[in-house]
Amino acid sequence: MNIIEVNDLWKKFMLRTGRAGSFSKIFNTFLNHPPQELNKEFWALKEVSFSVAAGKSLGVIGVNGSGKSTLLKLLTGTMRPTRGQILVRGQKSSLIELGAGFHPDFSGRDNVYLNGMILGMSKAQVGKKFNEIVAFAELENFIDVPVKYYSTGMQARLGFAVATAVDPDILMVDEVLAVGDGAFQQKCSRRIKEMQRQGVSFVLVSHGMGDIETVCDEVLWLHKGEVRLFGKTGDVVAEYRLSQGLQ
Amino acid sequence: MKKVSVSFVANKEKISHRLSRYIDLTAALALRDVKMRYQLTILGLYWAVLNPLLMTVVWSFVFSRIFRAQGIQGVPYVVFLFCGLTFWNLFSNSLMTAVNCLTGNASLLSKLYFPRVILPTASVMARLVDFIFSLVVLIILMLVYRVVPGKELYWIPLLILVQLIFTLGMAYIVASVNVLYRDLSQILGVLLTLWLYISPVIYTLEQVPAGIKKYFIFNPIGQLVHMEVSLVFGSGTINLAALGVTFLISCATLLLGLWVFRRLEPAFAEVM
Repeated sequence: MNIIEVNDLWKKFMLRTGRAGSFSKIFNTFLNHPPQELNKEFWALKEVSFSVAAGKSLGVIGVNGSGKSTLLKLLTGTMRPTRGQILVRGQKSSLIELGAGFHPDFSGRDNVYLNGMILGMSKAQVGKKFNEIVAFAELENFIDVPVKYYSTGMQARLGFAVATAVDPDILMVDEVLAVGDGAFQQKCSRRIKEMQRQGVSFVLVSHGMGDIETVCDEVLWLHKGEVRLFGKTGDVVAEYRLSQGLQ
Repeated sequence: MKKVSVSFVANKEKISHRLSRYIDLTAALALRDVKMRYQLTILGLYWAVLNPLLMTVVWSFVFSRIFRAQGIQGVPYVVFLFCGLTFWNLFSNSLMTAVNCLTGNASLLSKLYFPRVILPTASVMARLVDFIFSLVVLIILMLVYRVVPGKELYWIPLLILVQLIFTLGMAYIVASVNVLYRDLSQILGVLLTLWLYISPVIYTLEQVPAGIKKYFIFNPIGQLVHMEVSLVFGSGTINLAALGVTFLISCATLLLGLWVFRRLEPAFAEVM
C-alpha cells in the first residue's frame, strides 16, 4: 500500500509586486494608473505525480526555487494545492526550518509541550515522553532556559527530538539535519535508521546528497516546479550530480 | 475526479480524543499568551489587576470630577466604572490580542496543519484569566466601599457566556482579516475606543437621551455590559426581550466569524 500518493499536483502563487490589495492599489486605480503586473501568476509546482510505498523513504532534491519546500508544505497540509490530488496515510510529523514553532522567550520545556501538542500528541503523551526528548537532545541542564539563549545546534537537537517523539508513520524533514555537530548528526542518523527499521517513512528535502543517499530509497528531482526525474536513489542522484557539474 | 482533493488519513483517532487534544492545545496556547504578556514584566500578573485599576482611577477623576458623570444611584462612581470596565475589557482586550494571533504565530502555522481557529480562541480564553483577576478586585472594591450586590447574580454566568459567543465571533473576523490587511491592527484600537464611548460603560443606559436610546439594542456588547453591571449592583432586573435580541445577534456574529475565517483560511499560509 502507498503511504503517499500525489497525482497531477499543481500549485499557483500570485506574485504581488505591490502590497496585497492595499489601499495604495485602490488609490492607483482611482488615479488612473492601472496596476501593472501587480498580480503575476507563478506556478511553483506543475504536474507533479509520484507515490511512496509504506516503509519507503523519499528524497526531494533540486536547485533553489525548484518547489521542494512548497511540495513539503502541501504534504504537511499547511497549504492547499491549486489542482490535483494528495493522499497521505498515517500519522505525520514534521521538522521544517530550524526552530519553527519555538518561541524564543519561552523555556525549552514550554516549547517542547506546545510543539508536541501541535504535532499531534496529547498533553499527557508529551509528559510521558518528556524525559526521553530532553535526554535525546542532551539539554538536561538547559531545559528551563529560554530558547533564545540556545545555540543553533541546541535548537536543532530539540526540534529533532520533539518531531521524532511523536511516533509518526511519516516524518517530513526540510533541510535541517546538517546543523548539529558530528556526534549529534551520527545520533540522528542512528535514530533515523532505527525508525526506518520500525517502518517509518521519511520525506527528506536536502541539498546534501550524502544524507539523501543514506536515508532515501527513492528520489524526486524537481526542476522549476516540474518533475525532472523520479526513481531509485542511486540513478537520480548520479544524474543530478552530472547536471550540477555541467552547469 | 475532483479537481482538488487533499486527504490525510490518520490512524483511527476517536473524535472525542481529537477534541480533547484540541482543547489541551487551546489551553496551552492561552496559558502561553498569559505568560508571554507578563513574564518579562516586574509586576507580572499584577498588571492584569493594575491596568484596569489605573484606568479607572484616571477616568473616574475625569468623568466624575470634571464632567460630573453619574453612575448608578448609591454606588460610588469608581466602583461603577471599574465594574463596567471589567466586563468591557474582556471584550476589548480579547480583540486586541486576537487581531495579531495569526500574524504573530506564523512559525507555528508552518509546522503541521491544526485547526487555525484554535489560535484566536486561545487569545480570548487568555483574556478570561485577566477577567477573573479583575473580578476579584471588583469584589474587594465592593467590600471596601460597602456596596451591596444585587440579588439576581445567578444571571451573570449566562451573560458572560453570551458575551464570549459574541467576542469569539468578532475575534475570528479580526484575526483572519488582519492576515490580509494588516491595517486592521492599526485601526482596531481607535475603533474599540469609539465603541466604548457608544456603549453604556462610563454612563448608564438610563442616562441616554430617549431619541437615540432605541438604537442601543443593536450594540450587543453594550447591552451585555449594561445588563451585567445592573445585575452586579442590583439596579435593574434582566430584560428578557433585550437579552434575546442580544443572544441572537451574538450567535449570528459567531457564525459569520466562523464563515469569514473559513473563507480566508486557505490564504493564511501563502500570505505569511
